[in-house]
Amino acid sequence: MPAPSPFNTAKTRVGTSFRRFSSLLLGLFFLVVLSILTAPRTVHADTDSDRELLELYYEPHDLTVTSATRSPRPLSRSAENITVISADEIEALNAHTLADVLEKIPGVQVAYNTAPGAAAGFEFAGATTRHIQVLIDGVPLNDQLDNFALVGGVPVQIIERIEIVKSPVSSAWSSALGGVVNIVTKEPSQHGPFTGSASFSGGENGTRDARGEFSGTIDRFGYYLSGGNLQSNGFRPFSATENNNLYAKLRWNLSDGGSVRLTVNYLKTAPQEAIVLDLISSRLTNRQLQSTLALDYALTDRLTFNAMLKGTRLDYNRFVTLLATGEPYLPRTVANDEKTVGGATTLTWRQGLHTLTGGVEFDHGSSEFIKAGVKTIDVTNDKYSFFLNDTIAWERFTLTPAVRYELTSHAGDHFSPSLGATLSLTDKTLLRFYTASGYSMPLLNPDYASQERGWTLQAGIESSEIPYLWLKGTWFRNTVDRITAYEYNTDTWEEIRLSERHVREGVEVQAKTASLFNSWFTAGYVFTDAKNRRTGDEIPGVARHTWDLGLHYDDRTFRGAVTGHFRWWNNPGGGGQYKDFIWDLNAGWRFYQGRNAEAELFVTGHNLFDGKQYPLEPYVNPDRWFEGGLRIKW
Amino acid sequence: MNRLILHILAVLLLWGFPAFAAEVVVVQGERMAPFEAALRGFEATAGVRSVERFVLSDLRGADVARAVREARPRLVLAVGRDALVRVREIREIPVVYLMVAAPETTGAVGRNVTGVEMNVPAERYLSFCAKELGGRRVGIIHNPARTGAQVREAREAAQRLGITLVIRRADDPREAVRELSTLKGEVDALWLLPDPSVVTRDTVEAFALFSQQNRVPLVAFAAKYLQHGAVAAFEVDPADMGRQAGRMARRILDGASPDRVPPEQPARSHLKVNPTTARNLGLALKE
Repeated sequence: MPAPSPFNTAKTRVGTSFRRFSSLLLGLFFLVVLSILTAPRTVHADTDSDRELLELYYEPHDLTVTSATRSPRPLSRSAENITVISADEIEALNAHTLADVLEKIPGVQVAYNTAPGAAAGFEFAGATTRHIQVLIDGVPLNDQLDNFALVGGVPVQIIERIEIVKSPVSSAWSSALGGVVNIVTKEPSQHGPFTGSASFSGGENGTRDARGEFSGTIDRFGYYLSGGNLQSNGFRPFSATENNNLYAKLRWNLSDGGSVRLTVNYLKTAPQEAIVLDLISSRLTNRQLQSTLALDYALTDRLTFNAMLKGTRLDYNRFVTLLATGEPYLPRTVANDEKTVGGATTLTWRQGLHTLTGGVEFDHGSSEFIKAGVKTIDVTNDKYSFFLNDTIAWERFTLTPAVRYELTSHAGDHFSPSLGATLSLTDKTLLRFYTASGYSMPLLNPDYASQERGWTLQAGIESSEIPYLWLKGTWFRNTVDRITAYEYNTDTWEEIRLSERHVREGVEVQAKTASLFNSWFTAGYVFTDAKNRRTGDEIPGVARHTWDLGLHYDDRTFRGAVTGHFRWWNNPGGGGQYKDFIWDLNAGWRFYQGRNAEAELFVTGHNLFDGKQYPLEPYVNPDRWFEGGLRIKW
Repeated sequence: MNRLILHILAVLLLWGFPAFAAEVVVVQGERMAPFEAALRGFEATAGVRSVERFVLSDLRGADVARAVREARPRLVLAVGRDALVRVREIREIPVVYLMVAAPETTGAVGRNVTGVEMNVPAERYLSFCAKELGGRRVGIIHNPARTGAQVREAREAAQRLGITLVIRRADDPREAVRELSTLKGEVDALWLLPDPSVVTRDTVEAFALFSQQNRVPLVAFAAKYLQHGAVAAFEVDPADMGRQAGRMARRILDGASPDRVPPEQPARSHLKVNPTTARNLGLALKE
């Protein structure tokens, strides 16, 4: 039997099973299209809930609430700097993965996004992926070894809402020194027993994305099912990608008002990682299975109870080969097998001015890490967490104190408090203040086993006093201590482990105009001054200036958006280029809009002017490329 | 440091808990921004010392009416239709509603119930149609089950103003589009009502097309429709309505009987105009 070539692209590397899977999806897609066009129309339920009535008066984003403290609050009562992205906004971006969405958020830097589904990393004004929790249905996507989340492997069609908090929120979400990306997945549709969507897109260099969703409610039972396949041969040598995903959510509404929910989320991503040092190339294969079983129940009129069991399995392999011979290069070949089981219970008590949320969480995690064929790490960690937070809403003033205490078997105890306040100066102007202590859980990787701690101080204003204009400004100062870093003694070439202190200070400004002639304008600017207090130098790789601009149009039949983003990566010596804006064009034509179904053709032009935006030389961003597709909903 | 933080937290937690017998209990359907704004407006003018809040989406299947009774408030504020439906069986405590479009369809008809409706008075729309748009024949498409009361009020106002209402009935959006075509040449202006049977993404476009093709101005109930082809809209501010309900509640808390405080329509509404659509229709309108 011939040995497999180490230089295979994604298409050939993953072999026939992936091809069969994608062919199956394609077939399913056309079957669904056929069934929609021929099936009798189902009638949506006619209900006049408050939400449906208010949606007659307001745009959906004007009704938004968020769950930064683990109990829902309106954004006007949230002290944290929160950005909320809805499913509609994600659809308008024609995005493939979570990385594509994060790339368009002011103040977020995404690197290594060299193709749809690439192993991209991201930062919030210098807070690296290692310090940011990515949660899907409340379950971390991050691995335990390096706390790294592969956002390029998360499909966007399952997302109802993304809440991005760009500050430490450890008092609610544990290890989250840099912030949280909280993904709220779609709920079963209430509009009938069988609704859904299907989409297929294709583009240059073998880029293909096929997705399907089915959702509905039958009596007390609701379901949401989704599956997809994304693949690309990449736009640089050795940057092919392939993602497969399946997601299921089943909900059973109990007769007395509670509900039971089961979710299963399977993600497989297999990107190549470009050529490093002109000598080697690597390919990741990351498989994650996450599952939750949750109960929501109202114990009394003031007290609600939530219990959740969760389990995850992560299987990560990096296969490295020598370019010259194609042989495996063992010193860099690694594998990580992780298992986590746990549970959480939350009680929410509403009384007087207060909404009090308290809970207990338990997690047992294990990690087996193999490098060059040798097991180098085999660790377990038990974690018990207790958290309590309160939202005190008194007239125009809201105060949110919170604490969390965590005991771990691997790395000691952690205490993190936070305090937030909002004040509505007028009906259109809101002041925010937030201070918090955060920490990053010591990684199971012994190279980064120290506990990193930090404080944030933030103040902001949000206003729509100026007609047709919404403005939001935030000043922030984030301090992080005990950051592990390494440098070499240039005489002996010995590795020296350092403990550093970083201070990041800056401002974030966002603006959006009201829609006029179906058009609106968005802008975001973030300035970050990041200093290493040990050396007094600027921290390389932290974007000092970021710009995001967008001109959008939507008349319900035609839609279009021209967006530009710019990151001054400030990474001298990395061989990167980042002097250009990257301009993208997204357009769509809803050519069929029936009562219960609609169909849209869409097209995306990426990097229209061949701009350069990358911090490190091997990970060059793609030049101009195009893709288009068809999306059907019913 | 940690001890100081815990002490501060303990003080904050104790603050406000003695409010077991709240003066006003607020029942609201969901935590949505317009409801929050309305509530802030209410609190600004009602002058109440303690407010307890029940949010239906948080409580799920709980017996809210029983919980309200146990809280023994002097007044109940129902924010939204869902909330008003859930407290309609309460007859012994004054109930003030807010952000409800058609309160008569909720079954909350007791003498203890009053509040602020969400609809701008029909007379405002019709006099605007007559004076600013020069329309003597105003077209309405609606589902009587949902907006029947508003159309009844419109008929009376039209009679006073000498305006002819051309009314078509539609039970669903498809029927609304069909009925729209029958209004060609029959109306000088179209009035869009907040009727979920009629107003959908597709039908709004059909209304806008009708408006443009037949040069018939379209008047809507929310500014969001200006971008879709409406020439003008009367917008209501939730905070304004909250303040209005707060003043009503204050009167009741000061001793007035709820049946002496009749339901009110929004005291303030803001005229919003799309100047380009107006110019295209040959109209000179100012906000």
